[in-house]
Amino acid sequence: MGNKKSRIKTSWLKKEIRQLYPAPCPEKKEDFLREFSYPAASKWEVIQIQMGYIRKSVWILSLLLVGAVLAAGESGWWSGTSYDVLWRLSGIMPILAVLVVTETFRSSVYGMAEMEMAAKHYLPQVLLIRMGIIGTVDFLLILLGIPFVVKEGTVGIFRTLVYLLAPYLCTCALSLQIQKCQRGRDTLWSCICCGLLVSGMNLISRIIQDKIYDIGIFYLWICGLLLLVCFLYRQMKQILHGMEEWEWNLYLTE
Amino acid sequence: MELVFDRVTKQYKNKIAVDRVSLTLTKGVYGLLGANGAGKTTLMRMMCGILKPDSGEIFYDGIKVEEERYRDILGYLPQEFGYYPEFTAWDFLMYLASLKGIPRRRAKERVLELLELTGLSSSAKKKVKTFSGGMKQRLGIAQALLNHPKVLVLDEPTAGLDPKERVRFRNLISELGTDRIVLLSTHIVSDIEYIADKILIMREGAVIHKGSREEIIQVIDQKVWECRVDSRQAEDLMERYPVLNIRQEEQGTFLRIVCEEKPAENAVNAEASLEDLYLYYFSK
Repeated sequence: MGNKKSRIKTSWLKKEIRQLYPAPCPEKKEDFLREFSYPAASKWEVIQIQMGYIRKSVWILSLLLVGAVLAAGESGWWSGTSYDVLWRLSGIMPILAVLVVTETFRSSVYGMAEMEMAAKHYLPQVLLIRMGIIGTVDFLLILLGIPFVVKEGTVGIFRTLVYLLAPYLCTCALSLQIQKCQRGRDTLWSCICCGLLVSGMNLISRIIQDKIYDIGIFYLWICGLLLLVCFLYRQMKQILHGMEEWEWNLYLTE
Repeated sequence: MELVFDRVTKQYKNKIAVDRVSLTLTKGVYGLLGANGAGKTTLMRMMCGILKPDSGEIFYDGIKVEEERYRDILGYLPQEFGYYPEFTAWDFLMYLASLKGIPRRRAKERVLELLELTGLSSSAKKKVKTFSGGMKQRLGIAQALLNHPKVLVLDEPTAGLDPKERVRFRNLISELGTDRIVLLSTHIVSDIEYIADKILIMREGAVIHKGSREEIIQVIDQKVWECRVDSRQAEDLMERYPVLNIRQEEQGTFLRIVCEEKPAENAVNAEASLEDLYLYYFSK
């Protein structure tokens, strides 16, 4: 009780003193604050923030595509062998890849490229972060699809991974190359056509499915995948360091 | 605090956009004056690390402008900029704050301050696509100031602003220029006249003149004449000398021209202005 009374008295005293002797307005606050470097966001915080700026439609479409294909197979509406499931999943990989690449030219299409390029975490960095995030999620979706392919035991996990990654990375590489050479909103349509083309080739390959997925020529798939990985790595390096060659720079020099 | 341009050159196919520019900028406001196609925007883009010079280098206190450390202290307002269609003013500034590496909590405070400073507080939650040209420009200025830049590059910052907003902007820039490097380019000569400590005149990719207003006006000091002549004489004078102003009046043609000696009997010396200098250089 005594403590409570003492606390009430102290707080009343403080209030009275504040009223009698008001604190002066801060002066030169900006100058003082500028003496200290503001705490920068950590790398993980930067990645988290960028996740929030990836369009919701990219996530929804990716999930819907993979989910729909797998659900159709499991429901019996579109059933078949392991190769059939593999063929269906390979068919949608190029579409997933196009969704990744479309994140890279929003900046130039909407006129934000110049401001983004002058920022601390500039455009190439941010694009690579976003492509990395979407790519990682797509990789997880691919891993999700693998059990549906391997459950019959006809195709192994590693082979399935290679067969699914190849069309995905091929579309990514081609779309980034298109973006290097073309400018404006037409680039989006060119990348979509590229994705549909790769997906279309996959459709046609159903006729010679047995030959394409033959274990005897699997080494060609591995070589192709390695080449694609090297090519993509080169493109990523160019995006990060060779801004002059890329479409948004061509856009700036118009 | 020093921004050094060392023989910076940029060429596009057959055109030299920036021609061996060497400059040292220290604290203060620099006005970059030049006609369309003079190379101002290219120079500014190189200064922001967006374009790479074909030769020469740009350093800020020994740091190359391509480095992240430099971009951390840079604020840039491009001549033209867009926005993602779904963004409100708040979203736009928060997005750019994230690109500038400002933590979310600090970014919210800073965005509120800048919306207040630029008179956009009441429009914070409105979509940028509903903004007028002047509002959008103010938003652009706000984003350039997010990270308390030590180097501020403004390309045509007063475009689209009404006279009242332009005065407000001038006052803001004058304050900001006391402890940072500010480079602004504009066609509105009066903006530079009121704000800039030093003026850089750019023509065909080269900086042809630099100095304070008084220093650069010297070029045409005592050489600006006003006279009223008949049309035949007016035509003759217009062919021989750069014309700063021409006006048809009842008594004849009023001319304001630059020439070394008195061009007509009734000509009187007029005080040279920065606009006269601009027209003198760019009307040829």
